[in-house]
Amino acid sequence: MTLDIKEISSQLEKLKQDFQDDISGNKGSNLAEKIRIKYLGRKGQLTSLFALLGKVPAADRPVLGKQLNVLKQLFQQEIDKLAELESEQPQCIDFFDRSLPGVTKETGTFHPLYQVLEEIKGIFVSLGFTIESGPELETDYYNFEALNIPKDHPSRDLQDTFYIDDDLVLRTHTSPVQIRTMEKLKPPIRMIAPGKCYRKDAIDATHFPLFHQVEGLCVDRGITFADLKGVVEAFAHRLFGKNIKIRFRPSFFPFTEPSAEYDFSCVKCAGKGCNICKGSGWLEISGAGMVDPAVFRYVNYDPEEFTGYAFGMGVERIAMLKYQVADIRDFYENDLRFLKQF
Amino acid sequence: MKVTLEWLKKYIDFDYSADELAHHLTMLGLEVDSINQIDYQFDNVIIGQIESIEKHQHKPQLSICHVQVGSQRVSLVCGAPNVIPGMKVPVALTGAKLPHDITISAANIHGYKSQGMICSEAELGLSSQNDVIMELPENAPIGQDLKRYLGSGETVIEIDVTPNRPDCLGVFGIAREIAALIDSKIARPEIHLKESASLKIEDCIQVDIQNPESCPRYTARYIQGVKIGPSPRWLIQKLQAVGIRSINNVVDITNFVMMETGQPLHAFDYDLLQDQKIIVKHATEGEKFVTLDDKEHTLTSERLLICDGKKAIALAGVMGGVNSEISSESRNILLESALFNPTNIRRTSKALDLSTDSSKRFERGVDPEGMVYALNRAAELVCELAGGELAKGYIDSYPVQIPTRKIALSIDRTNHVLGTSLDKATIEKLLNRLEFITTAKDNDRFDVDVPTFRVDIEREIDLIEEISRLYGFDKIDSRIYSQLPLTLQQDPGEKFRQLVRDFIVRLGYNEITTLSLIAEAHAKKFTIYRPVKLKNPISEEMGTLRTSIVPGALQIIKWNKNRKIKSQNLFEVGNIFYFNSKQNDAHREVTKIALLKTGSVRSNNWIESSRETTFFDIKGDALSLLRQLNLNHFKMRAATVEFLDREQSVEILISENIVGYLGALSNKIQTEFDIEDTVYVAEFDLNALYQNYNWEKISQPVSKFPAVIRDIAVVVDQKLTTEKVEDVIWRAAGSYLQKLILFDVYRGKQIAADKKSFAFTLTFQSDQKTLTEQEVESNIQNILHALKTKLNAHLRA
Repeated sequence: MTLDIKEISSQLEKLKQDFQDDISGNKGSNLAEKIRIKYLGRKGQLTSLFALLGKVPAADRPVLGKQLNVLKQLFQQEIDKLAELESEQPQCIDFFDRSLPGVTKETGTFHPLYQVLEEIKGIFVSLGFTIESGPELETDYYNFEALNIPKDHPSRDLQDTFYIDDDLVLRTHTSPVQIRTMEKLKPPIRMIAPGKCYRKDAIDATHFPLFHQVEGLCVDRGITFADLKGVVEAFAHRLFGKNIKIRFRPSFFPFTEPSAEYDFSCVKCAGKGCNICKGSGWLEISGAGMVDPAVFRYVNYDPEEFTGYAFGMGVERIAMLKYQVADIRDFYENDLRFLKQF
Repeated sequence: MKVTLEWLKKYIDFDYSADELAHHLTMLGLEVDSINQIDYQFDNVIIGQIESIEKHQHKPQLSICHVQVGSQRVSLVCGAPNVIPGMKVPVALTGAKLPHDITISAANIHGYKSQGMICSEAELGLSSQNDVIMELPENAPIGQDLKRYLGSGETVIEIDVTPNRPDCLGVFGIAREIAALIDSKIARPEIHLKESASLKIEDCIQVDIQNPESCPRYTARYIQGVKIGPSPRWLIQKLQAVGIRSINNVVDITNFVMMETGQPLHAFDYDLLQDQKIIVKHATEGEKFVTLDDKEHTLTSERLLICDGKKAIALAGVMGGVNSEISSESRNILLESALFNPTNIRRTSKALDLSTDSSKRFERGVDPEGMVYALNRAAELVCELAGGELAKGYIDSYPVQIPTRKIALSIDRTNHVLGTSLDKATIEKLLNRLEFITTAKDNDRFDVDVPTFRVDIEREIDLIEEISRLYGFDKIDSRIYSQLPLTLQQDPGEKFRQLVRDFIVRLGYNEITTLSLIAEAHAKKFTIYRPVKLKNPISEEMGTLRTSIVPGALQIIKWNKNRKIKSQNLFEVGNIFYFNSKQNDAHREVTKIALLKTGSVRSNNWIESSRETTFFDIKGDALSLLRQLNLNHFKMRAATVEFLDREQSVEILISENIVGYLGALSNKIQTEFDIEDTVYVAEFDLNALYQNYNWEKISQPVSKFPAVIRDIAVVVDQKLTTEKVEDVIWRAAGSYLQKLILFDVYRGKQIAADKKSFAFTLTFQSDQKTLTEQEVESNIQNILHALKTKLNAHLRA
């Protein structure tokens, strides 16, 4: 007696349908195991169909064999899936709470001062400046002498200095890097020197013995005060937006002449006057000026041939304005609740 | 430098309000710090006239004054000696307010009911004069409010004078700046001296300058028979407004003239001078001298002294001596107006830590031609306010003439520096307004005569600054980049530093920046070298430069722990400092990277519970960093530093050089910093990593053939290190083994007590072919064989 393969195929269709009904139905616990026994057990419905293989014509056997195997594999996969679900999350089968919190990871952060510093550096690099550096433990010569701040001169009082010995100080500005760079290179020079500086100031909301400064220097033939104004304006506009106004007013620094202080119109009130600018509408940023010929003589540049400008800025000051931080100590307390805001 | 609006107006006529003036001065380089209206500190004080006085019945030193105050007549008890009938006086009746929050109420004074009080200037806060009642002019209207009568207080403007402008340390100087602004001239008060006919200066005093390099000029006047006493109210108030305390009339006059002209003056009690001589000379080494503030100084030969025939009487240009001080008994005085060498005065002031109004001016430079005017001005005022007979003539010892300055100025150069196109006439006018005298030499050049009060103007560039300052920086058009950017050669070290910081942030660390100044005790614990100490620290806690980032960062960990933040991952990149005893004790500055980890590695959540940080977490982070940087050829060995735990620590070497360390802090350090939870740290030398970093990256092809993964578990001797087992596996495996991961370490009942089990996952792969079962199996067998023979390890059953 031989069996018609078509007939068996339709039986297989039916079996598949039953299986799918069973597996998607909700019939209590341990369902996966029950279904496995029903279909794939030693006496299971699909298992028993394999016995029919011998009863079909030899030519049909491979076809049927393949059909049976495909079905067996499918059943096995479905059962495995169900078993896995049952074992892992029995409570979630009927209700998936998508509002359970996601598992987050704590990411790292850069210090806000360095975020601002990177931004400043980026602006000047795009304006064609290089980044130079020098030591924090500096000699009297580089920190003062070569910057036209002689010993026994009242201009030394502009900065309260930490001394290690008579010749070694903690640099009070990053201006010594000007000298070091000019000693190393010939004009044209266009550089900024970011870094830590120290002054013996009593600690309060706007003073800390440690602070970060960015010093800028440009030396070439034909550099003028107009170029200084241009570069400081370009910088201010990039950092705080096109609406910022910049004001230069005369001042005194031993290493620049003419010397200027530059102010930005208040970033908060746009010059109307508020608590940040103390009603003046202006924010003092820092000093600038044309490089004093005396400084050029220290590095053997001919002041008749070359002119240059220099400027400085305090990173803390700018970060305080940018993030509206009222107290400089916030940057150095390193409270994680503060740091993680940036 | 403080000045009042009213004082300025004595010498220059201008229409600016205080705010406008402040703006203009600021834009001229005289930055105005503050503007303050002086406020009287009393209220409801009225003007009264004493009608009659009777003595107190029981206390004869008290008088009862019957005072007409307009609407009524009151009786007031008064203890001052100077009350007389007819005198106009300030009266504080019940309800009046006086300084220091005093409110007047009726009082019973030794049985006599007083309805208020008659006030002294001190009681009104007008001066320090407290022993006499303030006497008002005869024409003062009875009953008027005193505040209304006195008029509003002066407006004090505080200017931040830069060190190059000593001329602006006098009211004249600031008035001159205003004159330049409004194109006007200042009017100095004219001086009219009444000199004695018989008394001649040369009969009274001889001056001998023995060190002219330290004292180029010395002028003096002599006044006989002055009456030392309190200053008039206007003088007291002027000085008070600019922050100077009233002493007596003569001393106040010297201070007033200094404030007016910028020239410091000194008055000596002539009768305390010996031999009628002034000798200006350097001190002898070790000489002792007591200054007016009663401090004794031991001098070096560099200090300049004013001496009489026998002794030192003043520390030249800094402070007078207690031995020649003007006192209430002084009758005859010598006024000094001199010029001293700025460097000498500055050194003295610094060496003796004695900075005075006088030294501040001398060290910046005073007008060499201004001292006679100041001397005469003071003499005039002394005669006016303290009486006395002014000797005829004055001493003017001027051994070394100070040359006037003439500077050549080029118009081209001016425009070249400023980026302007100012013409000759404009430049000339600007300079003239500042009292520079210009003489045209040719089309491009001027000779410029510098006024003697501008000691700061020495070079052409100084004149260019003057021109730009008065012209106005705001009028110079800015220019953006006439040149192309330079070819950039950015420092690769700087780039590496950023790369490192980037990687560390990716590992989940928060960047901190801490003060590089720490306590010496802490600095010493983290180095084998001598720390760098500050000579003049703010405090001991900030007295030494850090020798490691760790101690400073531990303070931050503590700060956050105190705020209930238990788990912290912190890092900092920064410099540390020490003296290298191996290299001539040269100071070293080295950039370090520090990572600190404490608390749990992940927070509790509903899927997983938290886990405490271990040594292997900091080790893993350090390894991740090194691998990110492609630094794979490092070695680790037991660390020898004392601040780390003896077991849980390693140092990291590249090419036999220590580049860093990592581990748990020692218990001792934890206790010292008062931190309970273990802190794990890693610190690297940035430069050492940079030296070994290779910017070039060459790609490796990835295998196209499948990987075969096998797990094995081996039981080994308990004391065997993972490193050794892994080493044997790698050596025995051959080239197909790509990855070896230890996924379990077991000790327990299932194996012998002196053994442990390591479970590894091995990944085999070839980039040439698909590996067969047999090839992998033979590899495994080789590994197991090697483990057995070399380490006596066997496959776990």
